[in-house]
Amino acid sequence: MFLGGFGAFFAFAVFSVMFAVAALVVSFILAPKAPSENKKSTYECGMQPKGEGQINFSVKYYMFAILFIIFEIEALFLFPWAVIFKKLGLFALIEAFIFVFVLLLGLVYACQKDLLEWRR
Amino acid sequence: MEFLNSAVFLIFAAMIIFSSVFAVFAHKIEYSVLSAVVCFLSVGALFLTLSADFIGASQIMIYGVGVSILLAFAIMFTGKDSPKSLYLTNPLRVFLGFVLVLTFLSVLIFFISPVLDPKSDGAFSSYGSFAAQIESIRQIGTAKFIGRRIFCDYVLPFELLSLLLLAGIVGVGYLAGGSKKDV
Amino acid sequence: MIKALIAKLFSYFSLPHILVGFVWVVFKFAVIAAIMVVVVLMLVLMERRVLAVLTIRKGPNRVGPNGLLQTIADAIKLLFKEDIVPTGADRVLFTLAPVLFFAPVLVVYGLIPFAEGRAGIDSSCSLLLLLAVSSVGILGLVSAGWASNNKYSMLGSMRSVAQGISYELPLVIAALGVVLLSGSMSLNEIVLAQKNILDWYILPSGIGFFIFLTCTLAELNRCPFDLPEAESELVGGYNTEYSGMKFALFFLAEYALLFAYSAVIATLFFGGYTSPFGVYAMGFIPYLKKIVFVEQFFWLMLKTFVIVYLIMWIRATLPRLRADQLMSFSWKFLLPLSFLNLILLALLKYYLG
Repeated sequence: MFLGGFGAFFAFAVFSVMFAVAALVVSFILAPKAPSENKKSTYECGMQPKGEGQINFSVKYYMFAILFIIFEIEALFLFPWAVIFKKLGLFALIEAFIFVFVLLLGLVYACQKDLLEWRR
Repeated sequence: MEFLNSAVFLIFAAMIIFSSVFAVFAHKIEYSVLSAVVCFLSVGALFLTLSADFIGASQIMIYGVGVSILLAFAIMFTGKDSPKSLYLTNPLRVFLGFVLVLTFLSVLIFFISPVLDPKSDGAFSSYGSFAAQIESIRQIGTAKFIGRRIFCDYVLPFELLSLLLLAGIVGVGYLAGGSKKDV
Repeated sequence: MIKALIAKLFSYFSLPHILVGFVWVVFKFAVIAAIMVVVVLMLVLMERRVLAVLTIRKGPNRVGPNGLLQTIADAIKLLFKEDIVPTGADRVLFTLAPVLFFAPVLVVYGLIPFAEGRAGIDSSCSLLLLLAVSSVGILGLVSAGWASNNKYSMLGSMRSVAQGISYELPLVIAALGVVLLSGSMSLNEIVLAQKNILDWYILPSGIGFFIFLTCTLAELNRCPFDLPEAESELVGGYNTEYSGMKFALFFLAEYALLFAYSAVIATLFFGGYTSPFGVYAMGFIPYLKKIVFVEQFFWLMLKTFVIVYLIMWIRATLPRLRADQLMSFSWKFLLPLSFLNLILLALLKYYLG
């Protein structure tokens, strides 16, 4: 089996990157180049930009990212269950329900703690 | 075909090694994160080359996207005073790092070696001859195999996993508790 | 058919046979890239015309017959535009961002089955791979925002990313419901399980469809979830500093994703490429039987464009949400609802076989 049956996948990935790069290269050749200080200045609605562009962000973005990973892992663990659901029967159904229930408890906890509130 | 397979494997392996080394030695922290992303995605690709479609997709989803965004957010909310690169200068930290890596490596070898030995009764010995084992290894990454193992053989670890994830949520709550004022 | 032709050509010119597979993949990629480009050109025009009709305007009607060549003119204009990298921008990440955002889209196109057994990439895990690959584009947004060195870009990209990850979860779990019903993660098999209008998964999984559609709107940063590019407050969001071809790549990828997600919705909930009546008109005619995939392609396109129209209609109808409402809507409403949907589907599947 060539590349574990994913030869086309890798080919597509490589070609798509090449497609995007080719578009950039073509435009690089065709487009005019006349940079000036004013043109290159950072856009801030006509004002002189003040301070750095890379401002610091609140930690709550980080919280959402952690919660995202936790629930993503949960969802991924349920995929194998969904695929062979028919063969597994009642026991696996209850197992999965307990699994989901425990994480829903987590969601309720996060709600209680106001973690899911954008502005606290 | 075999030659091409090995070539692709070597390319991805080289990408993993170089990107992880670059992640440590890059002089801008953005580039460290970027090369970490390259490393995560190459690991996912490596899984795919071994027919482990489910594990490969999970790797891309959780590490390639989730953890990468976590890293990106981490550098965005740390201040300008934080170190700009991961390059380690403190000798104690370097020493501890080496100890950690060696420990991890030996644990890894300890767990993997019985699997690779065709004569031992490792994890996959119930699948017959070595060739059959190789074939069965191809099955391991698929969702069906994983589902059967999780929901028939490893029920308790699976339920414990949900508690582990719950602990993660509680940890987030604890972390966020201190930053009530910040909007 | 074409693969056999390629193989014949190779043996005729006595070229090494190993390359046949490679040429075949190149051919498939070329076809799918062509489909994508044509679809995007059509969609941009369609969006402008549909919005014009819905807001009682005329829309573009000057370039070419009835304005049909408008987007082609726009594309050529963007190709010849100067590419500006602002001072203080990180050149490497700034250039990499549009590539990182665009490349996954074409892979997603490769995973969609356009006719029976005719997907660019055949895989037994294509749904999960599709979800994984489509989320990689978020990384492009992060690097675009960070590299631009502009507060608007930064804010826009952070909002998009926060929104993208929050709405990814209900989307994945809604897709999980479909996997549960069909017992397969291959998009091709999911389609073949709903050959008839009565088998469409929208019937048992209507809630799943609602969740998937809502999350699609959020992932695409479209109305009512278009906060990341809210013109009135953020200029243009993450692509504020972009110009020329780099901007065009972002633009192209957004519209391409609109089509891709609509096609995925059609595939998961509306029977994909199969005809709603269970039989194909071309299946009855002797010579056309062999090219029944043309009709299948037509059905997929029809269903997809209906959903695309629905999304455009929503854009013309609904106002924009507030940022805090947006996040709590996903986490407090959609996520529990998607779990509820999953549990209901599991019980349904268990009791009804």
